[in-house]
Amino acid sequence: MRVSDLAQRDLGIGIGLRSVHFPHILQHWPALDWFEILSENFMHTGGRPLQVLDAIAARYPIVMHGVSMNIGSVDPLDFDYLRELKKLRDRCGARFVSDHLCWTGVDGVNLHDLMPLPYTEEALKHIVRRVRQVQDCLEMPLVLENPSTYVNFAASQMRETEFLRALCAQTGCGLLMDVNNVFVCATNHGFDAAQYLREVPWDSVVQFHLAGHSVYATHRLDTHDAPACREVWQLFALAHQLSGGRSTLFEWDGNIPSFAAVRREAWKAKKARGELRPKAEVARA
Amino acid sequence: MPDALPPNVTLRRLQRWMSAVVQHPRAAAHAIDASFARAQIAPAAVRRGQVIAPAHNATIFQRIDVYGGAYLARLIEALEGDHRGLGFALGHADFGKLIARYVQRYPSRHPNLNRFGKELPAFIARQSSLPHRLFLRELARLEVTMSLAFDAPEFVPLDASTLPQQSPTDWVHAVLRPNPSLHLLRLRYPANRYLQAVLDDASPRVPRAGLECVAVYRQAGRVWRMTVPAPMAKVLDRLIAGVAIGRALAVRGQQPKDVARWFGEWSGSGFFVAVESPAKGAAPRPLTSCASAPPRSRRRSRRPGS
Repeated sequence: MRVSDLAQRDLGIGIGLRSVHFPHILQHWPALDWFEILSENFMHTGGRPLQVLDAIAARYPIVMHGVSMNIGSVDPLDFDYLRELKKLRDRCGARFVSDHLCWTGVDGVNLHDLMPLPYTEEALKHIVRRVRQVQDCLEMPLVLENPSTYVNFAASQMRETEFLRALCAQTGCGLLMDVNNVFVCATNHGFDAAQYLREVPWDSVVQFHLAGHSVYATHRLDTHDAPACREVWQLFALAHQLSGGRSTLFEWDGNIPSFAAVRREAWKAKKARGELRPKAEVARA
Repeated sequence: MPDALPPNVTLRRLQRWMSAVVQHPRAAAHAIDASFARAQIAPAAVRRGQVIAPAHNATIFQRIDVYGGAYLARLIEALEGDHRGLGFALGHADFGKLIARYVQRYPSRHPNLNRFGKELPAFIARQSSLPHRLFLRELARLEVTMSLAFDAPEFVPLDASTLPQQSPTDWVHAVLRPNPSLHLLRLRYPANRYLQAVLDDASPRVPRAGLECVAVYRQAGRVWRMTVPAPMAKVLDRLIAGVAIGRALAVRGQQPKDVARWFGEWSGSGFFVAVESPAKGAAPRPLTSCASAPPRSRRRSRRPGS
């Protein structure tokens, strides 16, 4: 399987599956193109989350999105984690498996945060080697998301987009382009978000993320607890145009409103995508 | 703007430095001077902007503190969700202080936070200045056990109605295999009663010491707590430990009608997944159920957030 195969699978518009919405989904089976799950919420457990996932995966396409692969860490890759990840993918038939271009811990400690990487030749070489190992294990291209970051390293030798281009070229991995993260980083670090999008290697982009964020005096924080702002929607329209259309997901993780409210926000992406209705509704009409 | 790290700063050093600074209980401006952090990168290099590039609208330390603040807040939030009783007993501020100390002693080492609070009861027991610490330890034990039950491996409960007939002698020597979510707790304080009051939005006081036996288990995807009378607890304890049914029941004062009722309750609650024959080295074989009495009504409490 190549990343171009994944990129061509435009699943339409999805939202992140969250436990507060389980009862609504199981009762109403709402119209939606697909769900993205947080992989770790369904790993190392045998309880209700897996039962719910089984039921939902029987009716909707599923995509897996992780936060603990620790792909950028200098710690050894956690192959127990990767085996669990693969088992979950096989169980729910996930179309893509994604994580973040970051590290989440070192010396065995998990910080449970997406820690930033310096964009250096050393880091690139390190991550290229590990992405290849992960792809060999998963037997499919890994998809990595551009993270929100709050610091820039003085040692960085290249722009994030240059790093992503080199990583994709050397590993064949895919990219999850989080448009909100692009905007948050552009504001925090003072670069042009639209120019960033023009430099993205679009052939490698498999999926979009959209979300809301919080504004503080010294930075913008990727909180996923609000609707996306106007600038993010404008950037998404540009990204959609540049990509030609990719699977699009809205994430909402804090102060989560009703399922209908999250879906309403996600469906705003239809405007940029030139769709009147999501694919699922069209298919059932 | 400085354009390079000091030459000896590798990716490994950079990550170990940032991890140490983020985990440090104080703000980054102080954390960079702590021994482990300064062993990775000299504080002077950080202050000169040779590690983190200065931002246009914030200081270097303000930006590092975005990660430091989120680290502790995230872990407190995770444990607060699993420890509503403990959170109520301590109050939000003191709960946060306790967890801040706990995180320093037991940082997370797992891809998810399912078992992050596992050491909390023992940690609480060692906090000699914490008022009511023995009660709080028992409350934490109960809540940690609920998390373990929630995430226990999948299982199929024993269906007593499908078991073939076997002789009473076989039953005496048979062993019941408990479902992997089942835990029997002997609490030194009535922590279950306290927790239920919290979940019912009451404002319970810290109770006096007193034995409370509670079975914690998962059924149909949800976690339940069942208060268990002491005689039942004695037998159940033995059965969970793998003692043969005959020996487990050889406790003075048991009434046959009680035993029949207990087995009915356990069966109805899915406590066991198999009955194994006594023959050594032989493959387990199913036997008949010794009781089919309907389960009596019992106090069941839903795990918060499940």
